Amino acid sequence: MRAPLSTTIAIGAGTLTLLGFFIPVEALTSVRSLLIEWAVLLAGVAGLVAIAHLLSVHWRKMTASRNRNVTSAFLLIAFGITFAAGMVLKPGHPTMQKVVTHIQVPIEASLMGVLAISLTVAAIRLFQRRGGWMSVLFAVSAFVFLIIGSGFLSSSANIPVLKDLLAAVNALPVAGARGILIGIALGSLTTGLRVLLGTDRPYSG
Amino acid sequence: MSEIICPYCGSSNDIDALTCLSCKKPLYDDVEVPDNSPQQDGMDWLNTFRGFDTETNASSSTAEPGGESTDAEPEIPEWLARIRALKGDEVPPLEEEEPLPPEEIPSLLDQDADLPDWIKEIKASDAPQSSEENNEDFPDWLKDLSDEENPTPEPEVAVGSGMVLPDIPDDLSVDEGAELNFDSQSEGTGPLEPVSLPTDTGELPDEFFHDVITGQTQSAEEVGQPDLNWLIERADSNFPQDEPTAQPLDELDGQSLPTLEQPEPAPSAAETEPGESTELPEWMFESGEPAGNETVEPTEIDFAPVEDNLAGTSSQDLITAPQEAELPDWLLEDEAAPPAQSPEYLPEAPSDIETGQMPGWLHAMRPVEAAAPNLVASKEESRIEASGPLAGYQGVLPGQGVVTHYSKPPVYSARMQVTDKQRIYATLFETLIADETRVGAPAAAKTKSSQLVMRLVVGLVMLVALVAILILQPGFAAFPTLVPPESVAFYDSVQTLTSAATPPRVLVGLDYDPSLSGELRTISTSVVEDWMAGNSGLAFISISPTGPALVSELVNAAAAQNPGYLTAERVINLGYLPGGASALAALAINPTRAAPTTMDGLPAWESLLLQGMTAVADFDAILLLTDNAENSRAWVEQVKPAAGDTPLLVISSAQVAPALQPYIQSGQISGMVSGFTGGAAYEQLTQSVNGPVRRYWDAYQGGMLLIAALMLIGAAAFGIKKFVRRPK
Repeated sequence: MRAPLSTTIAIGAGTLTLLGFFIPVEALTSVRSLLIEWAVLLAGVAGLVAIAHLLSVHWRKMTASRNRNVTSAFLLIAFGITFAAGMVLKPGHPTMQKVVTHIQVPIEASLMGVLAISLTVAAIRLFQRRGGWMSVLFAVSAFVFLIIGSGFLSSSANIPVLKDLLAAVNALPVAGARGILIGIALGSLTTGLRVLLGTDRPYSG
Repeated sequence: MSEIICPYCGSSNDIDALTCLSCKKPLYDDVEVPDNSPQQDGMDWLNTFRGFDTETNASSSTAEPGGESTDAEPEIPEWLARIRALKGDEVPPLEEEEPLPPEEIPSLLDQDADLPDWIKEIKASDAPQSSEENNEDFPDWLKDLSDEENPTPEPEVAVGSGMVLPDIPDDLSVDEGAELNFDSQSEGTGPLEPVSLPTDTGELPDEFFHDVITGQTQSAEEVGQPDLNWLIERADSNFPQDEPTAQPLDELDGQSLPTLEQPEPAPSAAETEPGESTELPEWMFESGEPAGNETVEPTEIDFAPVEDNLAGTSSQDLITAPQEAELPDWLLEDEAAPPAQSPEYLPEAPSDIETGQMPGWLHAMRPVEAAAPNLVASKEESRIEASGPLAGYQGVLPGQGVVTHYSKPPVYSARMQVTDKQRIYATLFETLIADETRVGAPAAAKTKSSQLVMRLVVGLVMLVALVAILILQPGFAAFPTLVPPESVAFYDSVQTLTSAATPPRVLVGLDYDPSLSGELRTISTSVVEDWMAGNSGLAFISISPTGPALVSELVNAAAAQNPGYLTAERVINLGYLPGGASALAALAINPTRAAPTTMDGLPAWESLLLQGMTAVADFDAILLLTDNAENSRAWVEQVKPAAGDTPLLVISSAQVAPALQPYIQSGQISGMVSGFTGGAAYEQLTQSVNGPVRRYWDAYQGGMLLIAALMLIGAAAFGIKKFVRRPK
């Protein structure tokens, strides 16, 4: 067996956690809580490692002898300033929160606006690039849900069939979403069993 | 019959020939060819014993240094002289072969008493010619013996075995030989070693080998073969030891006859061990070319021809008609009788030896060559080696053609043999692949520019339209009158909790990114305002790193509409909870350990708002603000079971709403407000006139309809354009 110690630890931890979820015993619940807290701590450390890796990558790109990326310097400089401000002002300071609300939120919102325009242009040129029934179906469905999502038809409650029609149309994405959720649940269950049975050992490297 | 190839002209000659019959050149460089020697006469030695042609043989023999023993030279045949000449260069046997001790000589010379007359004549002629030193070595009785005239019967040579030795006297008849006392000879000289069989066994009858197998000829002593040592002694006495030509029998004994002087004769191809011969089957003697047929390399001594000459079969062919007339009857009889008639002499063998029979299984094992001797003479055996150190030899294993003939290794073509049909298929397949991998022609600059223009036009149209609507606030978009049921449930839950006697404490999970904060913050603001209106306690926690910063923005926006709400006391920001679903699981199990402090580092669960709370179920409601379907599912799966009857209310973006609809139908989510449509419906339910959703509702609906219109226009335009171009 490959990595027997890691496999034993993983199966044991998973089994205890699962038993602690189904069996309301104080000992199992405590062990389950302890293991999950360890997982949260490891996730936090993983976040720090990810930050360090991001900085190292941009440092290499900035100091590379060939194809040097100057924009990486902006990232490093911005990180240094934000980190220093956070260490001095603490994260709950209103100035530190404005870093997000006054810089990050407008930038990301602008990107969403550009995305909306790009998607609109792509939808306009849909029949220019590709024809066929799938394009027609996509265009019709996009058009219908744009109208419904806009709430334009919701204000016309006096139309007799409209209410039933909207309910039927809104049931389509719900049906699809439920199928996706069932698939996700089965996949999660299978993955959990494989890890518990030792068939899948992603921790063994 | 053995042959020798002339090194000059390549013609085949008899083995006894010294010169080539064709070119008259000497066949051996180191052998002097006599000018007046009789052609192909190998019987001169025999005539010498008879006393014939002494003068001729004396002149034909090789010159002896010192001129001594001139009568002994005619006794040397040509073939023997040649061998002596060859051996004199290579083999130094004389010094190695010690002469018989003088003690043995009397016993040998005792036989001279029974010598025939012709031998006595030889002795008489040899005695004055021999050196005195030799005579002095002889005892007196031997010296006297030379003067005796009593004929002594010469011991017959292996009559019973069918082997004919060369030194058989002419006048010795078979009957006389039968009267010889072999026992006395063998006693005097010890047991005689088995005489080697003639190598020319191809002419011997099967009965001979049959007798050999049965053991009747296992040794000369058993068959009554006379001892030939007297001849050896005679030769030793007549010729000096340092002259190889004067000791023919010594050489013969040393090479072909494993007898007295060499107890352990060196095996050679020409020799045949008697012991082995008695054990070998008959077919082994019948198969193959006779060894005597092999050609002789000039530089080496091959005793096979010698033995051929020793055998009567070889000399028989060389006897000319005049000589034959002079031969005695017994010799003629012997010569006339082939060796196959040797069984006639079997009665002379000891009668106590039983005739052996070859077993049947051994007969059955005989090779094909034994049954069909004619097949033995294959081409390879009759082939004469033309080059190399074995040039001139016959029957040599063919090695030249294998070793020296080199040829280039065959070159195999790696080219695939393709038929016409396969080539056609390959061409078609190649065409298909080329069509699939062919990249479309790059768009022309005109097309790129048109796309850029179209993007700019669409972007500008949308931007101008939305900005215009936001600024003008035309109010053309009516709020929805059809409200989704989940929004109604959400509204009912909020109203129920906020209308309670005690202000509710709500756990708010803020889980959206800044990119979608424009949608969610707008929708959530009106809901948070309602919670604040009810003086609810709000504990914010986020599993997104940017969540804590967005909390303050949301709280500040909602608090602006509720100036009397004490944000510092009623709102706690528990910060960021890393770990995703695991963090939510830890929060559901024990929130006090998962998020013990606030963003400012103060103990959260000791605050006035959260005092006494140890579990998620202690909250009056859980409000989730999310734009992520996976995180929403984690909240439903991890936190809701720990919350118990605490309602889970969700405010989501429009894109997540379909994924959360199943949880609403299952009751895991008590109510949901999704997207601007849900926010408008909530504000419609709350009868909010100046709600945040209301301010953006016209722009939102106008923008959606504009996008739908652009799609319709684009589809119509490009569809018609494509339809029009298709006939071309």
